[in-house]
Amino acid sequence: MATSATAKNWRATATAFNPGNLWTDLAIPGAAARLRVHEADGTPDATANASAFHLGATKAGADLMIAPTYDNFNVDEFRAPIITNVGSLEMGIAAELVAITDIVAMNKLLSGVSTYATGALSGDDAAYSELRIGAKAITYASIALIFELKETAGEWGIFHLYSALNNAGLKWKQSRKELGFTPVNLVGYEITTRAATDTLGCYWKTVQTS
Amino acid sequence: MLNPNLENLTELHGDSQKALSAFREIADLGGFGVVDPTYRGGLDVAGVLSDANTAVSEAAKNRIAKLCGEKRKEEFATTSSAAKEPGKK
Repeated sequence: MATSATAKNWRATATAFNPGNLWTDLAIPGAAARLRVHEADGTPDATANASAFHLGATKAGADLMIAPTYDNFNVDEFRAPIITNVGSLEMGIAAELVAITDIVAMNKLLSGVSTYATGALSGDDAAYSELRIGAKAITYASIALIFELKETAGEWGIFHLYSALNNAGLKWKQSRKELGFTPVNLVGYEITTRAATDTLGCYWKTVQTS
Repeated sequence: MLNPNLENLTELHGDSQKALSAFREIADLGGFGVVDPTYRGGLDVAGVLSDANTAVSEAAKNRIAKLCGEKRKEEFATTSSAAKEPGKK
């Protein structure tokens, strides 16, 4: 029987090259919906995301991660696993942020431990913006990294964690010769009462592919 | 409003208890899951109210719109969070 060739597709434009923008305090989308993006510039739609907050520049981009672990099961009669099961699932964004002295931004990275306050110059007391560190209620945020697609200028890729927090705290070097930055590790938490296929987040793009 | 949270729902409904009840009902009807009502980012109801969204019933959409003080609008179907026809932006 004669054979025939199958077309290759190197997908050279479906690659991750462009810088992203990291946003927090986004609105959570409902069933079968996605983050509303202003397509002209790839920012969150301001009407639907009135509290959206840009976390600023990164030192060297961001690492995006969707990581299931699979528990394999073996039987005595065969050498390789015969079935598997998703044992755990993680989704997260890691980056190194440089906006160290932006107290508002840093406050959003210290869930459950920081309290933000400001005060004006008063008599001999200096004006201030502060993070008091102690214990308080943990809060989660809807966080996304949005980047322009290499394959289509003016279209966007979105890596969205519905409910997340930074579990790496803050840590930076204060130096004359080096740019200070703090590593952040934004990890997603499931919203358990959403549809089972849509509890943790969504990686999508503003282009329909066949 | 297309981005309800406890603060703007309180302004709309007049007191915090009604606002909390509205927030929970919107979250339930719109498939948002149980979201902390103090969450500052709020809920994005525009994608839920879109005509293209078939996961939420028309009755639920109408109720969500009423709780948010919104009318159902055609333009909900024109942004990224709503389904697009192939080849159209």
